[in-house]
Amino acid sequence: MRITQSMIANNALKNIRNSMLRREELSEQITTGKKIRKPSDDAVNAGKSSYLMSRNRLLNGYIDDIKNTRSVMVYYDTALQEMQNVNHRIKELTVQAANDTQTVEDRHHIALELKQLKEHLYKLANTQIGGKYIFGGAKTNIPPVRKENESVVINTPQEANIRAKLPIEHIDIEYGVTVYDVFKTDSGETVFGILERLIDSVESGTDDNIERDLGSLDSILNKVNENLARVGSVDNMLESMEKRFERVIDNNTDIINELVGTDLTKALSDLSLEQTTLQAALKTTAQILPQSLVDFIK
Amino acid sequence: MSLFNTLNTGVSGLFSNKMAMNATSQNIANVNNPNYSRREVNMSTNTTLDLGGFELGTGSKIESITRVRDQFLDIQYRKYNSDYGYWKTMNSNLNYIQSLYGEPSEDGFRKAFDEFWGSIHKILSEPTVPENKRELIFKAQELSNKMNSLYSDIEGVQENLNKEVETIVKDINSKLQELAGLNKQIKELKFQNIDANDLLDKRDAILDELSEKINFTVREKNDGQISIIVKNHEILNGEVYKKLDTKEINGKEYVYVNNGILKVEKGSLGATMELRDNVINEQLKRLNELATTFYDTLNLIHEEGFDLTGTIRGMNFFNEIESGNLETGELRRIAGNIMLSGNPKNYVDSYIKFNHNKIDDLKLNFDVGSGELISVEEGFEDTGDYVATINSGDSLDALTPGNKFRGNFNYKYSTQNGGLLTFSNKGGESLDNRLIIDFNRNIFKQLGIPSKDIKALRWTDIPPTEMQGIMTFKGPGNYTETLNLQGVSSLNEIAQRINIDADGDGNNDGGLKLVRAFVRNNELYVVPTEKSYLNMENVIINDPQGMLHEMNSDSVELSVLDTSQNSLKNAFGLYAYKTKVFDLSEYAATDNVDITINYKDSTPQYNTTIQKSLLNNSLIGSNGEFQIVQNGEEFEILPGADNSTFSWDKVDNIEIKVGSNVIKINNFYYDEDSAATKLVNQGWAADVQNAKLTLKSDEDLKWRMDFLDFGSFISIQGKKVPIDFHRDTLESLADKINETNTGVLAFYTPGGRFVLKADKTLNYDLKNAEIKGAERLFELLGIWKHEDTTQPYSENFTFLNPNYTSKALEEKLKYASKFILSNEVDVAKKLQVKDYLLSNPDMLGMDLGKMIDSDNDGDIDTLIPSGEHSSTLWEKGYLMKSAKIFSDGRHDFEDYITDMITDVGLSGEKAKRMEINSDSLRTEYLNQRESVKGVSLDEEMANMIKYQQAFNAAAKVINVVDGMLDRIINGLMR
Repeated sequence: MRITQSMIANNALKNIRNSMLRREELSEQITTGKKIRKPSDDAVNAGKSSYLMSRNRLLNGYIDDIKNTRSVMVYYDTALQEMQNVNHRIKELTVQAANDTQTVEDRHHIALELKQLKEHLYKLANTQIGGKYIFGGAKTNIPPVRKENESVVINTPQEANIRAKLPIEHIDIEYGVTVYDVFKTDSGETVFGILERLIDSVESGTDDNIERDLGSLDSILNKVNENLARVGSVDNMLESMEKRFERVIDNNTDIINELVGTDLTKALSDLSLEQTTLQAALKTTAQILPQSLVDFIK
Repeated sequence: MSLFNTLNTGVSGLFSNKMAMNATSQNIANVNNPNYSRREVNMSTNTTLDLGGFELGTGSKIESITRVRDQFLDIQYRKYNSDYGYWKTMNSNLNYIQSLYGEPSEDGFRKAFDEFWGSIHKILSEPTVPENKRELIFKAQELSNKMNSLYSDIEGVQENLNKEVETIVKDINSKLQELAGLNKQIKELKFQNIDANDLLDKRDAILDELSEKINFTVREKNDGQISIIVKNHEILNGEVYKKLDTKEINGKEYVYVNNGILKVEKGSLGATMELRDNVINEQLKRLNELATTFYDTLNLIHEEGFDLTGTIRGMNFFNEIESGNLETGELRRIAGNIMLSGNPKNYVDSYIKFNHNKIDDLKLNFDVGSGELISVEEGFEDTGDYVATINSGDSLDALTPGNKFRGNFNYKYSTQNGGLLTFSNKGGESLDNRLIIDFNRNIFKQLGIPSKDIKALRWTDIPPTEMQGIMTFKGPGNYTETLNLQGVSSLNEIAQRINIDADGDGNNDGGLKLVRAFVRNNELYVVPTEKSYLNMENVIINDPQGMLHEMNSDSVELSVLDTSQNSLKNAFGLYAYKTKVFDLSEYAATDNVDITINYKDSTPQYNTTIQKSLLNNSLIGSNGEFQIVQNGEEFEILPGADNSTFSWDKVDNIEIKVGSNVIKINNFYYDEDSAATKLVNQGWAADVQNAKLTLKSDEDLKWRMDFLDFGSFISIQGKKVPIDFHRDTLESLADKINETNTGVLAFYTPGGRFVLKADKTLNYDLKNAEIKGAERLFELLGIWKHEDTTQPYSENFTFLNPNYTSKALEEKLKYASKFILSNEVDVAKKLQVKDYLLSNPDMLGMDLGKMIDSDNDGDIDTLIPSGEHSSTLWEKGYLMKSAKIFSDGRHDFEDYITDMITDVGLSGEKAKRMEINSDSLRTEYLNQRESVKGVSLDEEMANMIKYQQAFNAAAKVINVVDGMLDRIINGLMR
C-alpha cells in the first residue's frame, strides 16, 4: 500500500484530535464531578438516576411531613400526661371522700376541688394550638366540649370524629386523638358524666355511690393511658419511618453518585494516561512528518 | 538508416522526459491539495521503421498523462460520507434537545412534577391550611410554564431544521449547476482529445461535498460526462440539471423534483428531515401526550370536587383547550356520566371455590362447632327465634328452611359459575345497611365470607331497683333519645325496652333508633344501627344514675359481615326482583294510608287511600299493577300483580302518607330463587320453574338474570374480554380492558365515572377503536343509553367502529362526555391554570362530597358537601399518580417521564456512537483513496531523479550523435 505524506498527516491529526476529545471529556467529568451530564451519556443509567432523584424528592417531602406531625404529637403527649395527673388526683380525692371519717365540711372541700379538676379537664379538652382545637377531630375550629347548664357535653359532632392522619406511601397513619378517644369511656358514658355524678355523690355523702364510681374512674384512667400508649407508639413508628426514609435517601444518593458521579481515581488516572498518549502522539508526529526523500537528495 | 533519425530519437527522449518532469513537478506542487489526484505519465515508443528487416526505434513519446484514481473507493467514501453527514446532524441536534430536558439533575423539568405531587401530599396532611392550597395551584402553574417553555424550545429546534432544509437544497442546487458546467467543459476537451484531469478532480471534489448532504449514485458516460441519480430521479444528466424545489406542506418544507416528492434518507438533508418529521415530532408528541393526559385527568378530577364553601362544583382546573370536532380531531377520551358507587350490596361472595355439583352434597366438612348468625332487625326481643345455628355436617342451605330470620338473607350456591358461594340478599334492605353478626366468629371464616369487626357494648348485670332510671343516648346530628330502665328484672326485659318499648310504658314505641340489643349466653349486647352509622363510637350515653357501671358495661368486638367487596353484580344492581317496604308500627289500625305512585312520563298517576287494617293484599293501579302484602308491621309493595311487569323502571317515585306524616320507603331486593319463591307464594306462578320464566319475560329483569347466569363480554379490537359479574369488580373490569393491550385504557375518576382513554396503539384516537359488547353494559357504565324501549337490548352491540362516519360517532357518543383534541392544538404549549384558582385558592376543589345513591340503583344521584375539612378529592386524585394511564397501560406518570428521558438518551447515545462510527469508516476510505491518488514526495523525488537522469542521457545521445555527425561531416570532408 502506498503511504503518502498527507495520509500520515491526516492520521496523525485524527489521532491527536481523538485524544484531545477524550481528554476534554475526562477533564469535564472531573471538574463537574458527574460522568453523566445528559441522558445520551448513558441513557439507561440516566433514566434510573432521574427516577431515584425524583424518589428522593418524594421521600424528603415525607420526612418533612413526619417532622411536622411529630411536633404536633408533642402537644398530644403533654395534654394527655396532664390529664393523667388530673385523673390521679381525682382518684385520690375520691378514695378520701369514700372514707367514713370525713365530715360534711371535708366532703364539701373535696367536692370543690373535684369541680376545679373537672374545670381543668374541660380546659384540657379544649386545648388550642395555633388557633386549632387539637382534640376536635375533623372540626378543629369549634371547641370539642361545651357547657350545657352545669354539665359538660361533647360538642364535636360525631361526623367529625375523625382522627387526623398522615398519608404516607398510600397508607394513612392515624396520629390524631379526638375528644371521643379520651373523654368517652368504654361503657359509653363521657368522663364528665361520670365526674358530675361523682361530685353529686361526694356532696350528698352517699358512700355506696362513691365507691361504685371508683371503678368508673379506672376506666377513665385506662382511656387516657390507652391513648398515651397509642400516641407513643405512633410517634415511635413515625420516628423509625423517618429514619428508614433517611436511610433510603442515603442509599439512593449513593446509587445516584455511583451512576452519574465521576469515579475520581479512575478519571484522574485515565486523564494522565491520556496525557501520556497525547504527548507520545505529538512527539511521533513531529518526528515522522518532516521526513521525506527530499531531505536526502543533494 | 540515418544518424538524423537517431538524433531525433534522442530529441524525443528529451521531450518525453521533460514532459514527465513537468508532471512530477505538478504532482509535487499539488502535494497538499486534497482534491488533487496524482498524475501518471504514460510513455510509449514512437513508430518503428522497418529497415531491411531490422526494426529501427524512433524514440519515445508521451501517450497520455492520466489521473490515478479508484472509482470504487470514491463510491465507498461518498456512501460513508452521507452516513457521517446524517449522524453528525442528528447528534448535534439531539444533544441540544437533551440539554433542554435538563435531566438527570435537581433542576430539570421532572422536579416540577415531583413538587406538584408533593403539594397534593401536603394538602392531604393538612387540608385546612390555605397556604397548602395556594402551593398546589402555584406548583401546577409552575409545571405548566415549564412544559410550555420546554415544548416551545423543542419546537424552535424543529423550526430551525425546517429552515435548514431550504438552505441545504439551495446549496445542492448550486453544486448541481457547477457540475453541469464542468460536464460541458469536460465533454468539449474530450472532444478535442485533451485530458481534462483538473476538471475531473474539481468534479470529484464537488461530488464529495455533495455526498455529505445527500446520497446519490453517479453514472459516467462515454463522453466523460456524469449523471447523478437520487432515488430514481436523474437530477443531473450531462449539461442538464434539474433544480430541486422546496414546497411547504403543513408548514413544513419538502423537497420536490419533477413535481414529485423526493425522499432523502441520508446525508445532512436526510437527517434534517428525519429529525424534523420523526425524531422531534416523536418528542413533541410524547410531551403533548403527557400534557394532554395531565390536563384532562386533572380537569376530570377537579370538576368532581366542591370548593371551600361547598357550593361550587364542576369547575375546570386548567384553562379549557378549544375542543376539536369529531371529523378531524382526536377522540382522546370519553367518560360516562354515571357515578358508579359499587352499591347497593345485595351479594357477598365467598372467596373459596366449592367444587360440588349439588347443594345438598355440600357439607361443611370442617368443624364449625356451633356457629351462630344473628341478624339484628327491628323488633328483636328474645334469644331463640333470631339466631340461626349451624352445626358441622349441616348442608349449606340448612338456614333456609324454617325461615329463622326476620331479616332475610340467604346462602346461594351456584354451579353455573364454578362453585360460587354467595351470601345474598333474599329480600330485604341491601346487606350494607344491615348488621349480620357471626357470633362465634367461625361461620364466615369457614365459608370464606369476608367479615370485619365492629364495637358493641356488653351488659352483664341488672341494675339494682333503687338505681333504675333514665339514660340518654346521643347520636350524630344532635339526635337524642331516652331509655327508661325502671322496673326491669332481666336482661331480656332490658333488650325488650331497647328494641320495642323505650319508655317502658308497655306500649310498642319502636324502641331506640340509635342502637339495638340482643341477649346471648346471659349477656346483653348493644349494637349500633344505621342511624349511628353502624358505629358505636358515635353513640354517647348519659347515665346520671350510674346504671352502666352496675351493669358492667364494657366495650367488646363482634365479627360482622363485611360488605366492602365490590363485585359487578352489586355495582350494577343485578338483583332479580325489587319491592318497596314501609313500616306502619307507629300507627293505629284505623289510620288512613294515602298512597301515590307517580310515573316517569307523568301519566298515569295512581292515588288511593286505604285504611291500615285493609292494606294487606290490596291492589293499586288501574289494572292492579301493584299489590301490597303485610308482614307484621311492615308492608311490602310488589310490582307485577297483573303479570305484565316486575320492574320499577317506569315508576318515578312513590309517596306514602298517614295524615301529614310522610312514611319512609325502603328498597327490598330478592335474588332469583327468592324472587321466584315469592311469586309462587303470591299465587302468580304455579311453581318456581314457571316463576323464573315469568320473571325472565320482563325485559328489565331478563338481562340481570342473564348477566348473572351467563356473564357477558366486551370486545375491543376483536379481543374478547369476558366479564364474570360475580367475581369481577369495577376495578378488575378496568384492569381486564387494560390488559388487552389495544391502546384502549379504562379507569375511574375519584367520583366513580368510567373513563376510556385512547393510547399509543390507537394513535391516541378512540375513533380507531372497535368496541363491542352487550348494549346494557355500556348503559350501566354510563356511556350509552338504550333509547327505544320497545326494542330489546342488543346482545352484540357496536359502540365504536373505525368505519363510523362522524355523524354516526356523534350519535353513539351523545351520552358520554368527550375530550376531542384538535390536531392543531399543542396542549403542552397551552397548559394554563385557571385564573380564578390563581387569584382565589379557596376555589380549589377539595371535597368529593358525601355520595348518596338515594334510589339504590348503583349510581350516585345526590351529593352533599361534607365540609371544609374534607380532602377526599385529592385523596383519590393522588392515586392517579400511580395509575397506569400511559403507554398502553404500561406506565404511570413516573414511569412515563423516566421512559421519556431514557428514550431521548438512547437516541442521543445512538447518534453519538454512529457519528464516531461513520466518521472512522469514512476516514478509512479517505485514507485508502489517498493511498491511491495521493502524491508521495518520496515517489516523486525518485521519479524526478529518474527523469532527470533520462533527460541527461537523452541529451548525451544528442551530444554523441552530434559528435558522430561532426565526424562524418567535418572529418571525412578533410
